[in-house]
Formats: sequence, structure tokens, C-alpha cells
Amino acid sequence: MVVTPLLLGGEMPHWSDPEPAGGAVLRALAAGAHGDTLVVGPHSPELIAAITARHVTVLLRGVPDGEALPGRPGLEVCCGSLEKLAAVPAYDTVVALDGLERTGSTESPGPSWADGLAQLLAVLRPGGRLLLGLANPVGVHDLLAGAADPGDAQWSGPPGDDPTRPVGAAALRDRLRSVGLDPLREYAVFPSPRHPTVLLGTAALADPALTGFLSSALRRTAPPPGPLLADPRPVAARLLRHGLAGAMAPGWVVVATKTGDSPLPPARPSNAASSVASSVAGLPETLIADGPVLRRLSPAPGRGWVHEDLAEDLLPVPRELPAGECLHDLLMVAGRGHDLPALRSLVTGWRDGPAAGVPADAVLVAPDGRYQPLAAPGEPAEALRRFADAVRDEGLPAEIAEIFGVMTGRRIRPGGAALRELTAERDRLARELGEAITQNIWYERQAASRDAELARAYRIIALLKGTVPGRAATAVRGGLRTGTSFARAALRRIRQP
Amino acid sequence: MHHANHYYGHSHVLARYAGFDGAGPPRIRGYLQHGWNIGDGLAPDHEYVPGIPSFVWSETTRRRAWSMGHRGVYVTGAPWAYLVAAAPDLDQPREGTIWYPFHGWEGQHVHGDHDRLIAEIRATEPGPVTVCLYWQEYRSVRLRRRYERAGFRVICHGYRGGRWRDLDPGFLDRQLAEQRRHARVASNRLCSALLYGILAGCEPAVYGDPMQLRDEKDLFGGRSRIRRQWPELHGASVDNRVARQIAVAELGADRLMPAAEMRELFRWS
Repeated sequence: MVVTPLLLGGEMPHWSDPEPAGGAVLRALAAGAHGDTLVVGPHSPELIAAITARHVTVLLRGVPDGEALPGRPGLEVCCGSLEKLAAVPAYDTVVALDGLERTGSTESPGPSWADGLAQLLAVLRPGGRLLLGLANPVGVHDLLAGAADPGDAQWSGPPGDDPTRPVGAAALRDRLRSVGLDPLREYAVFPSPRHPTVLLGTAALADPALTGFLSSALRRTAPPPGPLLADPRPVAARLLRHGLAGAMAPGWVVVATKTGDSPLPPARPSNAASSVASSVAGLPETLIADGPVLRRLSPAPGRGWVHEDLAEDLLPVPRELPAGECLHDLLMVAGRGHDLPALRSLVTGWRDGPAAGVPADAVLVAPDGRYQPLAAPGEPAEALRRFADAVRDEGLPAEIAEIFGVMTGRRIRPGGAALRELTAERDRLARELGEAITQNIWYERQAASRDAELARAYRIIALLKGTVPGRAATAVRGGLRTGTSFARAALRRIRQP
Repeated sequence: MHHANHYYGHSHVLARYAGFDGAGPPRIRGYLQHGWNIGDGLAPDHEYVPGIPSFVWSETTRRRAWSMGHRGVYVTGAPWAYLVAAAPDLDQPREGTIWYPFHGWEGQHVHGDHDRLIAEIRATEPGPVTVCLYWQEYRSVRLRRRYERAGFRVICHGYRGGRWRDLDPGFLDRQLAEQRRHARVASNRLCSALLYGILAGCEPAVYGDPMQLRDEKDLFGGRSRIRRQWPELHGASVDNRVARQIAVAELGADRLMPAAEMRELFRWS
């Protein structure tokens, strides 16, 4: 079904937004949209397809993006800038998971973040729900990204320069409240604001009992593309441990409802009823995409946390979330502390136990010492290789890296992808080169010293040869040589047939 | 550097502004936008050379050009805006309408019903009408006569010049003097001349059959996009205040560059 976008004004005929918001976790969140739904900004076709509401309107700035969307009954595609959208409360749900930065076009300077939010609020019915994304301009992904030229989308200043944009998750929450929205859920998203695979709720972030599990989840996110100053994944795990993962997350997602009763008759009573029931119940506390599995975490009174694994062919069954520390973190702690017995014990327990072949970042070590795999085992060599790479990239002392290699039979390969690792590698090579030069000088001195001793020995020998005993000894040695050769010749003659 | 920099005497106007008097303007290191459009500001047949800067009229055009992958794009404002700022309006009496029928450029031909357009102009305009034809159309005695028979005064601002020949440093001066004699400016398409007229103090209007070029391609959304994006300027009577805001933005009259900066930017120092 071919889509002919409705052009609102301010649309960009030549423009296509790269990397629309999408992925399994955002898709799952958007799937809860109900009633008349507006999707603002670039979102993946899969995410839009997951919205089962009968009437869905998509607003995009790039005309080619609108034309490329697969059509379906009830889907309307508009192209233009956000300010051109009629400001009437016509929607029960507004999905803006891509954020507000890509809702303006080249045709006007705005809208500012605050104007964009006001526009979304204006089109949302009282009691309606807003799903809003906000990228963090000082998130761990951004701070560790390498220098890059501004792309074609950066015709204006970076989003972080907008003074109307809330700074941080708390400011976002406050701003929403101040304009009449009631935040229901708030997530810190990793590893990227537009394509996260981990959505961490505030309760999960605040619970130290979950640190091991969440550290594993953060370590196992996909490596970011592009040049890097350092791999942000281990940094994210450290931020989590120090209570900063929420503040330094690549972005946040907030689900909020518009307060007040609808002054307008609802478009469809049945949907409006579900719209009013905008309780927290249907929203996950934390959502983690782990390969094909979507893992939903919920607090269970008296039982800590439970998780349901949502896969297309499985009926989700709540199960108790395993407790413990991430094995990868424990190995690093032991390594950094030069605690070889602990390192050896962890390696042995990992290699010889039920978690053999499972990557260290997918293993929890329970307080009672049990190893609990969070993923299916693979090749043990591959699991070791993955940790060996981390040993190199996370800057463990060279001796520990060497010892780890000795313990596991895996030599640590030099080299690294990110600038920090490359710099560390260059420093290591420079140090080793310096050591090699020093060693060479030492060897040369040794050789020169021995040369001198040898020359002295030769001179003594020559002097000794000139004395009477020396000459006698030379004659005896000459006689012995003559006798030996005479005897060899005689033997050859006798052996000839 | 590019021959189109000299169209309509643009380079001469800027050279005068930058303090160069005398014969020819110094060579501008870059491409100067020479007409209003809804793309990257430069002509569709423009040949880009990497590293050569572009000087565009408005901030919107700069944003568009950036989004299309162009770098080294600087907003200088339209030469017209410098001319208007330098030659103050003496509040001479204004009368009637200067009307710019949509025209083709060199080698292009317009298809449309001029008689119907003439009827619309007569039905709409309250005072005397001056029709300004492009030099191509002006050379057609038959076409000129049609407008003259309708009781219109028919003029032409001149030839814009081409490939460094027949340059006309006074083109825009004549156009400004002519526009300032009129109370209204009108056209059947939103175009440079209409925006110029607004900046020169005329009440604008866009109405009538927009006509069509032979094999016209609607680049960047074409006419329908122009109507959608600037509905305020379309119609026989429009809001002057809004029209002026749009003209100021589109001609970059709010971003004029000091002469010293221009000399540096154009490598004229």
C-alpha cells in the first residue's frame, strides 16, 4: 500500500532522517499506545507497525521518509514541521520517543524544546498519554565519542545549547509536571538514546541488590558505532556502581499522562476508557532486550525482583531474578587488586562449573558462591577470548593480563578499537621499546666486556706459546694431531675391500 | 569568479557597498546567489567546485544548503537589501502597481494565457498598472502590444548580463527607482522581484494564473510548496506587516554584513 503524505508546510522534499528511533524495547513501549495516536518525529517502520491503535498519524519532516513508510488502513502520514500541526487536542497518545530535536525543519529556526513540548501538549487530550524521549548531550555515549564533523542534520546548533531544554532526568520530570503532565514512568536508556536495548526504571537503578544484574545488562549492550575515545560499556557499569548511571545515561524516556478530564467528547468511547485508565500497571519497570528475548523486570513484594522473558513463542512466566555480582566485575576487581588467589578461584569456578562457556558478563556469582548463567553457553574459548579482550581494553595491569593468560592459556592480544585503548597500547609499546633499547645496551656492554676478556685471553695464549714449555706443548699437540690423522688413514685402508 | 556573480549588477552593488568605486568590481572568491529560490540558493545548473564558498541570501537558505551536504555556505544577504539600505526612500509619491508576469530565463519559454491574466489584473488593481517584462518577453512586440492595449505601461529593467558580457551595473538601481514610484507590487508567482518590491515599500500581491515553463520541473516541491509555505503572501490583498517580515528574512535584510567583513570574506582585502 503506497503512502501519499499529507504536506503541512515546512516539509523537506529532499531530506531523510537517519537512524530513526526503534529497537525492541522502544517498540514494546510504543505498542501500548491506545486511542488516536500521533507519532512525532522519525521512528522505525517496525515501531510504527507495532502500534495497534486503529488510527495512527505519523508526522515526519522528510518527505522521502513519509513516502517510504508501509501503508496500512488507519495510518495517516503527514510531512512538515511540528509547528504546522493543528494545535487541537485530537490524540489519546502521542509517541515522541525520538525526542523533539528532529521535529523542526530547515524552513524555520525552531521549534525550541519548550515550544515543541507545548505543541505536543496542545494536541494531547486530557487524560492522554505522552511517550517522550530526551537525549543526554553529556551522556556517557557522547562524552566518549570521538571527534566527528557535524553531519548534514546539524544545520543548527546542537540540542544541548537550547536553553529551554531540561538538563537531566529530574529537570525533565519537573518540567513535565509544571506544564500539566503527570510522569508515570521514567527510564534511563542505554546504550544509545534512539536505539536503546536497556530501559532502566528509577526503582531498579536505586536498588543495590540489582547492581550485578544491571551491570551485566549494560556490559552486554552492543558496541557503539563510530570512532570512540573509550568503550562506554565498562564505563557505564562503573557509573552504575557509583550511582551515576541515571544521570550519565545516553538518554531518558518518560511516560506521562495529561492531567484533567477531557472537555471534549472522546473519539471512540472504548478507547477513551482505556485512555483514562492510564495507570502504571501496564508499564514495565525495567526492560532489557537480550538477543531475541525481551526481559521485563518488576519488583515483587517480599521477593525482591521477578523477571518475565517475553519472546514471540513463549508465554511469559514471572521468575525470581537471580541475585549476585557480575562475574566480569568480580574478575576485574580481583585483577586490579592483584589478588591472584581470588582471580584463580573465580577463573576455576567459571571454567569448571555450570557457567562454563558463558561469557563472564553473563554470569552472576551468588552470595553463596554459586555461578548462575544468564545466557546459554557457547564455546569456552570464545567466552575466554571475550574476557581477554576486556582485560586489555579495561586497563588491567600488564602482569595481571599475563597471569590471566597463563591461567587460561589465552594470550592477551595487543590492539584496541577505542582511542583510550589505542593510547594505552601506544604507551605500552613505547615502554616496551624503551625496555628493549635498555636491554640492548646492556647486552652490548656484556658483549664488549666479553670481547675484551677474550682478547686478553688470546694475548696470554700467544705469550705462553713463545715460552719453552709452550713450544713443547705445541709440539706434543702437533704430534698428537699427526698421530691421529695417521691412525685414521690406516683404519680406512684396512676397511677397504 | 563565477559569471553569475555579475548578473543584474550584483557584484557591482556589493563592490560599491564595500567601498570600491570605479570600473569593474574585484573578483569574488565564491558563488553569489543571484535569485530567490526554495533550494540551496544557487541555480540548478550550477557547477560546484569543492572548497569554493557559497554566499546565500538568507539563514533559511543556509540551513537548506547545509542539509543538502554543502559546506562553506555564508549568509551575506541579497545585494538588493544592501542597495535598499544604502538608498533611503525619500517618500516620493507612489501610485499604481508594478506587475511582474512570471517569466522564463534565457532559453526558456512560458506557456499561459496572457489575456486572462490581463483581465485579472484589470479586475484587481485599483490604479494604473506598469507591467515589467523580462528582456526576452519584452523583445516580443506582439506580447508588449497585448499589455499596452490593455492600458498598461510596459517596461523592462534591462538585460542581466551573461558570461562577463553586457554587464549592467545600474540594473538594480533602475529597478529600485521604478518600484519606489509604485504603491503595489504584484506577480502571478512569488519571486525575487516581488520580495524586492516588499522591501522597497510596496504592498504585495500574488494572484492570477501562475503560468508554466515548457518542461518545467517542480524542484524542491515547486509551486505547491511555495503556496503552502508562504500562504500569507498569496492573494490580491495581504498583511503588509507579515509580508515585510518574510521579505526581510528571505532577502537577509536582517543579516547584512559590515563592509570590512565583506571585503575579508570575498577576499577583497
